[in-house]
Amino acid sequence: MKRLTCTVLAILCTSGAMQAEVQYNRDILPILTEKCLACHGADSSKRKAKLRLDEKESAYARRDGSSAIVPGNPEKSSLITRIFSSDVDEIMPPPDQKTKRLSAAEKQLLRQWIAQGAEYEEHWAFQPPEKPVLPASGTWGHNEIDRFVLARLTSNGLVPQRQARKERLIRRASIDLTGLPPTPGEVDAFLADKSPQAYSRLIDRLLTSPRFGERMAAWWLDGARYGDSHGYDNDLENSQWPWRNWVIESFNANKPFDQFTIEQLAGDLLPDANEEQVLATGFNRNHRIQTEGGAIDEEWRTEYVIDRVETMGAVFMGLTLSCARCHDHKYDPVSQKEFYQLFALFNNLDEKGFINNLRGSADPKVRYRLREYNEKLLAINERQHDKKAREKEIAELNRQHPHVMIMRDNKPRKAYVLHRGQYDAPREEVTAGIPRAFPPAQEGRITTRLELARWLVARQHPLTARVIVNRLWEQLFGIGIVKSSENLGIQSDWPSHPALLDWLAVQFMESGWNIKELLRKMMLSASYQQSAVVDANRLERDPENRLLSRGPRNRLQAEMLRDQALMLSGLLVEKLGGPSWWVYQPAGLWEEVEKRGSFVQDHGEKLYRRSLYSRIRRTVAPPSMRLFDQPSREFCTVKRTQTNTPLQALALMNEVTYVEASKKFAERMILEGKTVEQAVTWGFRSATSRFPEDKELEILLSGYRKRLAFYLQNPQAAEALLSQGESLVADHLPKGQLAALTTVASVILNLDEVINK
Amino acid sequence: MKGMTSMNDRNRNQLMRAANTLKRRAFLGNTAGIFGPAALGSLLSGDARGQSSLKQAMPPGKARRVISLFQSGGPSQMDLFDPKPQIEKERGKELPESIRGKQRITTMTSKQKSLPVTPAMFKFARHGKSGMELSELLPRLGHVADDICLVRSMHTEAINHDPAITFFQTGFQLAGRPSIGSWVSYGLGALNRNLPAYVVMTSRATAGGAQPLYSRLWSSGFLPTEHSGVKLRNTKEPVYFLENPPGIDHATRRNMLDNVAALNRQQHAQIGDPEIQSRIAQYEMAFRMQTSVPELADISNEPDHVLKLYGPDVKKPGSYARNCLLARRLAERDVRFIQLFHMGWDQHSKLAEALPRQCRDTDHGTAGLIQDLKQRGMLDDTLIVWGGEFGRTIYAQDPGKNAGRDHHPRCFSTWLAGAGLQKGHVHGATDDYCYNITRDPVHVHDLNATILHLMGIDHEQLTYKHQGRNYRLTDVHGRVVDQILA
Repeated sequence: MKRLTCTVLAILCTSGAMQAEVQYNRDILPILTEKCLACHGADSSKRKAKLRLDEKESAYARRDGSSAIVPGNPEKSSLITRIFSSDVDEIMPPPDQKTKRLSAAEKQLLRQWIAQGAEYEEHWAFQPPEKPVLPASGTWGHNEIDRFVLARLTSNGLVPQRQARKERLIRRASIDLTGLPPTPGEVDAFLADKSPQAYSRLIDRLLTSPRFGERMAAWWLDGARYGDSHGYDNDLENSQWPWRNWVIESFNANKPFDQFTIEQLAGDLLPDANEEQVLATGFNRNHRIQTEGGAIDEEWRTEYVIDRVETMGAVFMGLTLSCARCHDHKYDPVSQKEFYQLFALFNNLDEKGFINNLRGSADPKVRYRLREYNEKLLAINERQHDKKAREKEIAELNRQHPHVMIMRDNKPRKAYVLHRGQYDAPREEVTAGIPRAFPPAQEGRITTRLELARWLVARQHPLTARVIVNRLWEQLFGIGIVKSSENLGIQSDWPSHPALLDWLAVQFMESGWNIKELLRKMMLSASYQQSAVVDANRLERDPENRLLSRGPRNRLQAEMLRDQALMLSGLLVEKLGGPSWWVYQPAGLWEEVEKRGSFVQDHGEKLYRRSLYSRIRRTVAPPSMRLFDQPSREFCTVKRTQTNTPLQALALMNEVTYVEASKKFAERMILEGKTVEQAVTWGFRSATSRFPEDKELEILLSGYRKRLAFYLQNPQAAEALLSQGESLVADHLPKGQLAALTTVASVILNLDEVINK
Repeated sequence: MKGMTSMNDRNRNQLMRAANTLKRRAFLGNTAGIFGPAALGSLLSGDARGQSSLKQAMPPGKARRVISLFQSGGPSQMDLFDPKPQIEKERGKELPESIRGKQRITTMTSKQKSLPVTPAMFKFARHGKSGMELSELLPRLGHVADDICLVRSMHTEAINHDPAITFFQTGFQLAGRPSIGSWVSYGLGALNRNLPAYVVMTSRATAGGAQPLYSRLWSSGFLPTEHSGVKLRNTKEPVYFLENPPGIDHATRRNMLDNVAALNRQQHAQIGDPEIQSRIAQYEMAFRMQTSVPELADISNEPDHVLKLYGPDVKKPGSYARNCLLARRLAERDVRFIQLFHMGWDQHSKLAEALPRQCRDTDHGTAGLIQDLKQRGMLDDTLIVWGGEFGRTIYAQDPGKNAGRDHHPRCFSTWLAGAGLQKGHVHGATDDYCYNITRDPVHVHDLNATILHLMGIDHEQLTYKHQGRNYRLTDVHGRVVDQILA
């Protein structure tokens, strides 16, 4: 690492970058936060020599005859003399802080910054976004986004990549907006549409698909830490799925994001709140609940309140408020006291911290769609006189209308600063409020969750719009404009296109927080539509594609991979919403960890619903999903990792879901093609949206012929392969051919092109 | 946001990120990138996976690999490792306030009217040249007492299983951080190209009905999921989805993979994305694992005299003893971090019956593993750690003939053996009630710092930036316990 850093900096030095103007936020702050602020930063309890280097006043102040920083005069600045000193008693950072050592280049940057005048800047993400002036339009691009992108590409000596082929485009867009690939028919229609509006019509069609809500919900559920069980100890099931219905329906209805936020954080406090608005507040009850015997009630109740504050901070503000649980935040302007002022807003439920072996919903809770439930109940009681039959119908009705955990405030509880974050160490009493460093609410002081929610989506709020725009950008482009999409605080990565982010954030708010319009804008850009082809030059100058020198190319998310396989095989059962189901999982999974209950898998249609509806028992999360980076949902996760591992290869080759899908996919191929060539071509095209090239087709066909010979000689092997999974294949089809085609289908499902968008 | 549009395009951050990308893309020796393999060589330090955060090359640790024998539930220290003959005279008396202090206790005993002192239910004897005192329940461990280093002064913070075991594994009580094995995988990478760096096995108590485990205990938390522990199962498919489905034999699979690789190469020629090459490599490793893992799990060539070391249970797949044998086989194949979880140490009641059973399930296998490693000369570069998430109380829960003990985080015993450690050594001491530490406390963070140290990792330098902050296994705590080092 060290050697590489030197190499990087050597290149940096020789390229002349050192002569350019040094900027505090971009160049200096990362050094300070990494190397200096732990002792000279915001945390007053750890501060040395009463010196703060992240605040101008303190850094410039004279103490003991010198100043840490004398603007314009590095030689008189003790910061410079100390970091260049060779005296072990003088040198900063102290030599025993091995990880804090400054490199030669870092020292130079600090010196140059002070020579320039040591100008401080406020952290950009804490200032309300303003709409920047658009860069001049160039010869390339479709909308405003492209102007920003082109400006950066040009200044880096890069040119945009050509537009992707239509087949690639429709696959990319369909997966991004619906989580599923297009059908060959949809591809044909798109190819046939020669009008200039063909692509925008495609985007509009996808945005109105009900699949859109499902795809977006899968994204939202990670941050909302949605799971189908309580997450501790025996980890029995909850019944929060109606809240998930609300999320899907909200995205499909294009509920403005400000309203979406307000209802989830404080729907219960809205004037004349309706059933759906109360249901929305399940967001804050999705946290795990302690069910282990012997647990102390107040310890865990406190954890839930803290979880709500942390989740709110991570999801809407892109901040790690959790740091301030135990001490003042070391980097961001959130004191420990302010953390507990937020805590006070989520602290007023009549809830229990510990419920032994809880199953279903804990208080406070509501019956899902009570009015509808009561009507149906009445109808059953009137219609059904047989006691047993009636009980059965009512049990089913209760399953369709379970109790859902929601927010309902009781009389306010007192809140305190908790020493070191411990429930049994209360200190100073606090009242509700928001951190001082942020613009205040228009109404003045914030005393309720509703006011907090409205403050989050106020035009002046510096974070929420940027955070959401950046995360949606990440969904489409694979990497956020701020790469650390989980954190926009002082420690965040410098944005690749800061002005573009602000332009989009303001545009988003001005549009009435319109999610579909925002996605449409991004996807209609030429930047998004670029081909993903990368050459040595692009790889060298733009290795991560942060400059957008090409189109996005990313691995499908866990849910998309399974959904794609189900769709290609014709197994997919599309129904919107409803409870979660148990799909295939390895035998013995629960027993190996001594989990209560025996696994009873669901059958029939329930096995083939979109992955969004697969049940998640949090402490034994489904391995085939975890392998592809689906979070366990035990806590809020706002950024998924993207990995590429051998275990993923094993799952796609061997997991029964994919073997069964291959078999049914092969069956469709036979039915779609008169010849093997046609069948394989149809299969390849269904999966990739394009026709195979001759060479590709030949590879697939030669593999087919070789394995056909094997299956014709080994009919029992063909039989065994075709009996995988619970679905059946048509009896009249020749088994040898079908088995061989199954292996071709499996090859297709394992292609990098099919695993990626 | 003034001044933000005029960005210097080769700014420092950008290049640092480029460097990081290159590291990632260097995965499995795929070295497409600016600097070429020479510059990357220093990062990879000979490993198959070179994604270390370590700032500089450190001298290699004494331990090449770790075998963690986690005893889930909280083994009773005063019945197994920490004899208190003096306390016999206090039998049945209330635990004095002066000893209990302000310690919080679980709601299982906090409402109990009486907290009667209940001395060890089993006898102790001295073993080996060191004269280490161990319980009669651990006769086989007694045979290797001179090889182990016993710490009687462990302490932790949580009083419930989930937060306590999560704390042991990740340095934090709440879910979400990487486990120690994931940190090691991330920091040092794998030594064996055909097996993962972190492998986990679980076994249940014969008696059943134990505290459940949670898959997050071997999860990579916020580290990339490739550093998650891979669970080795006691079924005919030791790793999830390892086996080809019925109807696809080895040759057929090879042929299919050749097709996949040929098509992926075509795709790479057109698209140029280095991730495609990486995918090709991963599929090849998956194929190799299909051979290497069953070979690993197949013990049919183990001679009788070796099987005997682990005791009769070794014949039962899924038993603790079998897992101990497999741990040795994994160690031979240079898996970096091997972790066994054995359930059933949570004796809230009927301890007198349950604890002997629990020890019978584990004592033979544990001692056998030490002996087996030793006879192969592997104990010198293998670190073994045995212990649970907390200890148990001197006072009885449910006093009387069904007496058990409640959770006790303030002191408990853990032992280590092997690479770089003192032998036949006892570290730390507790008071007469086995309730408070009187000498040389060792916190969980200290133990984890010491484990990393023995692997050649400075626990303060193994960091990962997540949500804008550098995290480490030991948070901002931990010190290496020098006194137990050889």
